[in-house]
Formats: sequence, structure tokens, C-alpha cells
Amino acid sequence: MKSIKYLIPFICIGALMLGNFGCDNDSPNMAERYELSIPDHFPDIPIPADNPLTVDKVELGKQLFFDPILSKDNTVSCASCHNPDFAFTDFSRVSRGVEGATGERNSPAIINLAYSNSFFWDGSNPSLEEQAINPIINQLEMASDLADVIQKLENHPTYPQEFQKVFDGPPTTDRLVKAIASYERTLISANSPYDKYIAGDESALTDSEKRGMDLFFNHERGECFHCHTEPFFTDFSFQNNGLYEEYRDEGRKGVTGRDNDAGKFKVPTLRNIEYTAPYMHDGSMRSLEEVVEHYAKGGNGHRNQSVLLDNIVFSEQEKADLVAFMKALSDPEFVNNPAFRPE
Amino acid sequence: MRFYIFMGFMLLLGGAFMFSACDRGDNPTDAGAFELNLRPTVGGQDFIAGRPYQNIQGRTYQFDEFKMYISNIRLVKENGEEYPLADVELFDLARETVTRGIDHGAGTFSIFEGVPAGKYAGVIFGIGVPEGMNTNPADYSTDHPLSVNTSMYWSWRTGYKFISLEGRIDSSLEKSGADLGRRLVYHTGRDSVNSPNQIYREVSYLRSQDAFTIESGRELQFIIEMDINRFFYNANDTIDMAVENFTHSVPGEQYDLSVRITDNLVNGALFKLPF
Repeated sequence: MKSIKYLIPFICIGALMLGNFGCDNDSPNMAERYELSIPDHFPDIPIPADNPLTVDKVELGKQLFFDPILSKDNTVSCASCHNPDFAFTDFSRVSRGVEGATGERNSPAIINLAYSNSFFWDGSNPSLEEQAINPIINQLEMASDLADVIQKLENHPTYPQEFQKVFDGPPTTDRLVKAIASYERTLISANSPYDKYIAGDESALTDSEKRGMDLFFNHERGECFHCHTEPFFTDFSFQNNGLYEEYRDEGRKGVTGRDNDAGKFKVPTLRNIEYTAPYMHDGSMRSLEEVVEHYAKGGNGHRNQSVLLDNIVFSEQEKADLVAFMKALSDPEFVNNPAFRPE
Repeated sequence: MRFYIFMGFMLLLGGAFMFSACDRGDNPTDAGAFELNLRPTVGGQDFIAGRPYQNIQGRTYQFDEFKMYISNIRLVKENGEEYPLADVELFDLARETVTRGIDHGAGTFSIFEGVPAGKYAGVIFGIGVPEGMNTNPADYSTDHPLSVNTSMYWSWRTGYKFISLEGRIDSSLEKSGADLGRRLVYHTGRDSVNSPNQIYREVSYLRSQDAFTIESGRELQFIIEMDINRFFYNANDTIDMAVENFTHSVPGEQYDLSVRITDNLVNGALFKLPF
């Protein structure tokens, strides 16, 4: 009985500590918070309660993002398909995984994903943390076994200490994806000429870009803004843009099973679109000019094609203006930001 | 002995702290829940997105998207005092039936917990986004009904869509229904550029007293049916959907069409089911 008497104060203190810190899981309490730089015209970024953003975790996530250790044969990293030089895409029609494996979809850009509520072209994953698993185990991408990846991280000369510092524990799948997601959450692009223009710098856009902007936001002709809604230039919805009369890859339908989702894919952001060629879910269009022609034609008439698409006659000047405006969404500071790259 | 009493107290305190830390929500004991259930119908049948229906002119149409903002939702007590439930909710009425323990039917619903038990005279809400909230999604987090993720925001120039109905119609002379070739796009809103003319409307379901009672620990389901066909006609005016098939509420004919649809919705298409 006497021994229990001495334990009781510790139990009490433990219970109090659990009460205080039980909501923030898996992260040392004294870790330095990572302060995101969020512009006024962007909403606040929701940070999951069980994955607080810390400086060390973002750094660890960045290291993992660029490390081919996550792939089966140590040849492919996240950055292989999401290269910062190309606004975190890979300048290929479809990406190459281990042993040259290729899928059917174009590498989506990682830009402002902290605001997204679904991931991948078909929206098959609901969180930034969970989505990080898929490329690691996908046989057409990194083709790894998660247990093997954790084993490799445990045997690595520095990762065990880094995980210990960040998470107070050894590498696990949960901690791996939390670190990667934390890094991805910091990839904010908000400093294009367009952003400067709406902040009050009228000289930030050229006359052609301004004409393109007026068309882009026009409610009767361009109408691009319906799906490519500011400030992210996507509304994160799934749309059938009439790319084909019949789709080999049925996109969102593969997730929901609903026929009226056939041919629908997640609307990509137009931010930094200049850097992310080729375009469309399958990388089938090489240039922005080709994209504008497609939309001006009003699509190819798939049964689920968005009703917002319509045949619109644009002059050559108007097409050039639209392309100019899209290029005014480029943010070289984002693409070249050393903080987003390995040291 | 006093030591054990003290330590017992500390244990209880610590335990209580531990279990309360993650849930800061109120849990009043004398409270129930109010469910606002919007149930779109066509001719008395539940509306299902993507299914063909006939309008009163005999034309076949289908809607694939149907979203609507409901705002300033509040209950009215018998003494006239208002009990606010929500600033704004987005109802996705093309969504598949959602069930949650009880039968919610084919509609879309919002459940408001912690409503004080008692008798109420009714409910009032607005259709659309009122001026004070019709600002910019940057003001709202991504899980908010007014976030940019909802596909209901046009742009900073024009604000939010209030109602979004998208689909297709057979516009042929034969009205065979075989070719739903003409698009239907009805986006109402743009109060921000049409002030003082406003599309935002408030509707109320009030009785002088005792319209319904919220019982402690129970949920009251308040179902409002809306007949989609009646969005497009009233006793004096019929909207020819095959011709008047498009509005982004641009000032002029488009805005007028949005006003007509909204007036039809408020004045003729909404019905509360008896309960």
C-alpha cells in the first residue's frame, strides 16, 4: 500500500498532462512551429490537430520528398514526378516509375494543396497525409512495400535520429506521411503578376494580360472562372471537360461508381500553368494554345460534358490574350524558392 | 487519511481534465436537435439528379447539379424571440440520399444540436447569401460553406451563386425527349453588382404559437419540399426552359430570369410537410 501512495502524485500529474496535450498527437510539445506565410487574399490553412506544423517536421518531410529511398529500387522519389523546376510536375505526358513503368495520368502539380479536400486526378484520397502513401506503394510509381520502406528508414544513418527529434519515436508509416504532408502543406504560390495586380499594382499586368483577364472572368464568353475560380484558379471540383467522346480512363467514376461521373477529373489549378505542360489528365495537350482551342470548340460532346462548355468564337488576338493571362499566373518566386528544395 | 482524500480528488480532477480536453462543445441537458431537411421533388416524386423529367410544357429535361445556399437560419420562440441556428449552410440537393439512423428521405439536411427544449412558433431562413457574407472566400476556412471549395463562388467582382442548377433539355420541336441537346445553366446571385435590387429572399414558416416543440434529447425533423418544375412557372408567367435556358445573373435579361426563378421558388415551389 505504501508503494501505491508514492505513485499517486505521478499518476495525477500524468493525467493532467494527458488532459492538456492529448489533442496534439505524436509531436513533441516544445517543437518550433512553422509559420506559414499566407497572403491576405488566401484563406487560413487548416492544419490537422494530429499533425501540427513544425519547422523540423517540414524539413524532414522535404528530405523524404526528395529521397529515392522510398522507392523499391531506390531510384524514384516524390520529386521525380513532382520536380520544383516544373512547378512540381515532370514535363512528361505521363510519369515514369521504377523500372520505367508508366501510368495513364499526367503528374499533377503540387501547388496550394493545403487548401484541397481531395487528391489525385480522380479525388480518390481525402487527405494530404493519406495520399502520400499511394505513390509509395503504387506498382507504377515507387512500387514499394511499406514495411520495407520503414525498415530502410530505420537502417538509415540519420533518419532514426531525425524521426526521434520530430516525433519522439522511430520511423513509422504514420510519421512518414505526416512529415511529407507537412512539407507539401508549405508549398504556397501566391505571388504572380495577377496577385500583384489585385493587390493594387495596376502595372503588374500588360494590356494583353488584362484583356485576357477580362475574357477569363467574362460571364458570357470566356467563363473560365467557373471552374478555375480565384484565388486558387481551381474550385477543386470534378468536371468532364469534353476531352473525348469516350474516355478510356473514366476518372472519378472509378471512385464513385456512378456513371454520371464518367470522364470527370479534378479541375487543376492554373497557377504556374506555364511551367506544367503538357496538359489535361493524360498530358495529351502540349501547349496552352491547344487548350484554348479545345475550350473554344466547346469540347467533344461526351454525355457528361460540363454544361458550362460552349462553342465560343475567339479572335486570334483574344486567344493570345487568354494565354497571356494564364501565363500571368506564373510565380517564379515559388518555382525557384530555395526553401522548397533540398540543400 | 487526508492524504488519500486529497490524492483521490487530484485523480478525479486530472481524469475530468483529460476527458474534457478534446471536446470543448456544450452539452446542455435540456436541449434537443432541429433538422432542416430540404427535399427536392418533381410532380410529387423525389428528385434524383441525372434522371429525366418533364416540365409543364412537356419538354424532357434533367438536372445534374442543384445546390442552394440557405442562410440566417433561426427558430422563432412563441414570445417572438429568435434562436439563431446557423449563418449559412450549403445544401447539395443533387447528392445521393444520406441516411443517419433515421430516415431522412431523399433530401439534404442540416442538423442543429443543442437547441433549447420548448415550444416554437416556427422557422425563418434566407435563400442565398446576404450582403454581409457575400464577400470573399478568403474570409472563410476551407470547411466553411462559403469556402472556395464549394464551386459556388464566381469571383471577387460578382460574389457567390445563390442557387446553381445545371442540366440539359430537349429543345426539339417534336419534344420526343430523345435528345437533351440544349444546356440548362441557372446560376442566381450577383446581388453585389445589382444592389439595391436583390435576389436574396427570406422565407418564414410561422404560426401564432406552438408550431412545433423541441423535446429534450430528441430530434425534430422539419421537412421542406420544393417542386423543381414550379421554379419555372406561376399563375401568370411560364419560363420556356428551351429558350430561357441560361443565366449567370448578368444585369439585364439574365438577372431578370434569376429574379423570376427565385420568386417562383419562394412563392410557389416550397411546401412544408405536415408533421
